[in-house]
Amino acid sequence: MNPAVWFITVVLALVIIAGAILVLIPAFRRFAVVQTGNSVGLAVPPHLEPALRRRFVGRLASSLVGAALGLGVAVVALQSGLVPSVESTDVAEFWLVFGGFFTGASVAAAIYALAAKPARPEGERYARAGAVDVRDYLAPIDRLGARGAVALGVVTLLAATAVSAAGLTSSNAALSVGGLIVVVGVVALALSELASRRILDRPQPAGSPAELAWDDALRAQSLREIVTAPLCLGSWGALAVLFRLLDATDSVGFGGILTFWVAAAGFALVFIALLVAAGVSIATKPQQHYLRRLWKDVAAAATAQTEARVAAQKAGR
Amino acid sequence: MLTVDPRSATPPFEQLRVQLREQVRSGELAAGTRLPTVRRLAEDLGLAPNTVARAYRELEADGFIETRGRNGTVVSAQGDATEQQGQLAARAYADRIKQLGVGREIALGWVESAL
Repeated sequence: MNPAVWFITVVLALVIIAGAILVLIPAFRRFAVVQTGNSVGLAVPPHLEPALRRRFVGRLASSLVGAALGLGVAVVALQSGLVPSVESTDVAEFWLVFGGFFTGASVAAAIYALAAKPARPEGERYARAGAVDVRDYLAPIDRLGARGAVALGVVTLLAATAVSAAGLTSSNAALSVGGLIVVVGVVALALSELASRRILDRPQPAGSPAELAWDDALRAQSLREIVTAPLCLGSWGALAVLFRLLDATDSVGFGGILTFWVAAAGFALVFIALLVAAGVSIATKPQQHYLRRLWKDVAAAATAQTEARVAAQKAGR
Repeated sequence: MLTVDPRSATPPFEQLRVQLREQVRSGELAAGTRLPTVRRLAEDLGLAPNTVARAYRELEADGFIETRGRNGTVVSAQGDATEQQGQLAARAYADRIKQLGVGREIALGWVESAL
């Protein structure tokens, strides 16, 4: 690992340590629950606040432990030479370190969501009359984005192998850190689909509609964390393989030049697509997708409140 | 939304049956809507699976819901044959609109124009 990769590793480790310190501060926990409520579009009822705080701490703590383990595995893999890295300056090493961080956090989020025991409410119980599925919790950009990113990574891997077999590159770009990231992305996608179904199969005992809505919000958040791993690994892996392909292409002869420019265009297109997807994701608030699907009345009321606030602000100017 | 009060004098299966029946009658649960599995609803409401199964059985006998093998239990279309066909067409349209990710207002506008 070169000094720049070590620097990134230390920064990510500091993020984990900072998170671990913050989660111990009661004021931060309260603040984080309110912030989560703002993000998912729900108010925090006073009687639910302690339970929500406990769940928030549990989720964050498990994600931090998972991120630390993932980061550790990535560093050990790079240091021990298990990873097929050809050059020490390979940019894919950055992505492997980031990938370890996010994959660890995703796996831990899945384990926490599957292992946490729901509290059994006393008295009246509430349940939804209709069945739900993963489309009610994950916006298309998250659900299809993860599959699309992994598919893109696999296509890039196959293309790199084909180009190498045709003798147009000095080495097979698929046999690089980028290729490994794509393969881990495929495994992460399969596991995320399985974990998502398992999470949705779990019971939702609720003593009030607000409790059920919050459980939906936290489920949606867990599912989004889980699909983050294949989403990142697929797209980063594709970029890393394309980057290596550019490096390995012999820019001689028509085939070599064509391969170089196709790889360069592919790299630019994937990069632009990622930026556009990030922009669309911010604009469409996928964290409130569950609200629009399962709690239309709450979503409509929140929209009306926002519109009234904006109108009042305009009138006050 | 379904509510079960374990302290009520009304048996839980009856509470469930009445609420589901009223929601189907009022159209809150549209024809074709898939209901949760017996096991899932029992776990959510803290009831024995047999209690939920009994409520579902009686609703099925009354023509409010139907079991479609692997597709689970769904709400039956209500009313005469014409009304039933209309409800099923509405369900199919709503499912397609959800698949396409089109907004509610836009979808309703298209129906208005088409009618």
